[in-house]
Amino acid sequence: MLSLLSVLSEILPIILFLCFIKRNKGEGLWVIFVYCLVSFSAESGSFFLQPTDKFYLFASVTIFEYTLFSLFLYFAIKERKFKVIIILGSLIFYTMAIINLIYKKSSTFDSLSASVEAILIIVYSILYLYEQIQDPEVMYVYHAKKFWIVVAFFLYFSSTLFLFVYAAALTNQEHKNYWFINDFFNVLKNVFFCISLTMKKNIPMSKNSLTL
Amino acid sequence: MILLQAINPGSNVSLVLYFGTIGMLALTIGLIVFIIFHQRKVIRYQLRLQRMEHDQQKLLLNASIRLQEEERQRIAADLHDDAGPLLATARLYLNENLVNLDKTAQLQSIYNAKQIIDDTIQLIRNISHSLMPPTLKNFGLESAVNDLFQKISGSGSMNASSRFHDYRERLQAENELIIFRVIQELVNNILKHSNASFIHLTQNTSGDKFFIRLHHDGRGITQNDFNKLNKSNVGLGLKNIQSRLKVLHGKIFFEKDMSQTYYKVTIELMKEEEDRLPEQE
Repeated sequence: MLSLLSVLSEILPIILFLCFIKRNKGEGLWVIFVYCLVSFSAESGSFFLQPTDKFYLFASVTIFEYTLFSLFLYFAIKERKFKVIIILGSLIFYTMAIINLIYKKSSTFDSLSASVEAILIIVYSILYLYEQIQDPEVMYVYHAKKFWIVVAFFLYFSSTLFLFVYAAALTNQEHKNYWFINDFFNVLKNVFFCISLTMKKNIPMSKNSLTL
Repeated sequence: MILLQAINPGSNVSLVLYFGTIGMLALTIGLIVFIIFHQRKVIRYQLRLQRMEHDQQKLLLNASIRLQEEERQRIAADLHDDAGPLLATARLYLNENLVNLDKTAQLQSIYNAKQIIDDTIQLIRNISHSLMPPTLKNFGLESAVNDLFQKISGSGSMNASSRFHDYRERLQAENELIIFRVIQELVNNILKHSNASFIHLTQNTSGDKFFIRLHHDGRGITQNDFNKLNKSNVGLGLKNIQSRLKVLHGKIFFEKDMSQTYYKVTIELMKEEEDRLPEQE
């Protein structure tokens, strides 16, 4: 039931993005739209695939997911040093992902790539949030659409990190028992995406422009 | 991570998974909540600072307006109380009955009227000079300050002297006027409140900075007193000094000298290249 809900929850951000397309122009949220589209297609398609094919599908989705999220954070972050960290992290990730594809260890889930992806996205999210609180031009951080997207990534990947780390070592039964964690936080992630997509476009208001 | 993956199948996976997940979740939520509350705290603090700055600006503006009004009232009083009666008296001497008087009486009336008109001219000249000293405009800050100090010394109330050590190139006219007004205000304060027996002004430069120092042996104020008076509703003149120095991005320091025998006021300004006029021949 939860896994079905998790798959269907991918549709909501797609619909909301299309309904509020004007509101989300110029915020880089098309990345989330593309991600949700691909994620929904992959999740739906995986029901019809063989276990060996599922591995390649999820491995590709992981690479695609990382690419989109890191791209979003790369453009959201203004600090040059942090952008360099993202580039270096991406090099590490793509190397790991290619190695993992070639020397696959699991037949259903690419645990190594997913774990590395989770750690990297958590790090980038922390960097983004740190930059936001340091920026004197930023008013309330939760007024920004990007903040909610980053919170979505952050919450999802930190909650599922241990699950992804242990995924390769889980039996089929254990996999079925514990995968609800991923499903639950996937739903939560999509809820945060929806919050961001439905928010009104924030007019950048700096602390300097406050009138008393 | 690879180590974690290569775990013994017998180990309690569920405990590690659950505790790990809950721990990470708690950390994440804690971090996000901390970020939100920290930022709100910073914003509240900055708003408070802004409010304080705004109040201070308002105080300075009010002080400036009040001082302007006081000056206008003083000029109006001088004109009304001094110039007005003098001209009225002169008019009395020059009425139509003059033609009926004998020549001696006529000459005497004309002479008296002329004297009164001369006095009025002098009075108006004094008012005008106090508004804008022509010495400042024509000869510069050094001459205007020397002039001012000579007048104070000449009055006999105290010994006032000034010395400009390095003023070969004049500053811009507007800046000279601002500095002159600041010096005037400081000198007025010393004359009114300090009971000093001497004032000495020195000017020098050091690198790209322009210094004016005022020493006196009367009752003075320290930097703490200056800051307190600036924040309160009194100390109109000091607020005016601060406003004027803000225009020049200058600083003022009030202190008691190391020997504890006299008070010192130091005005520090940046000497910009474009402020300098070509040396006068």
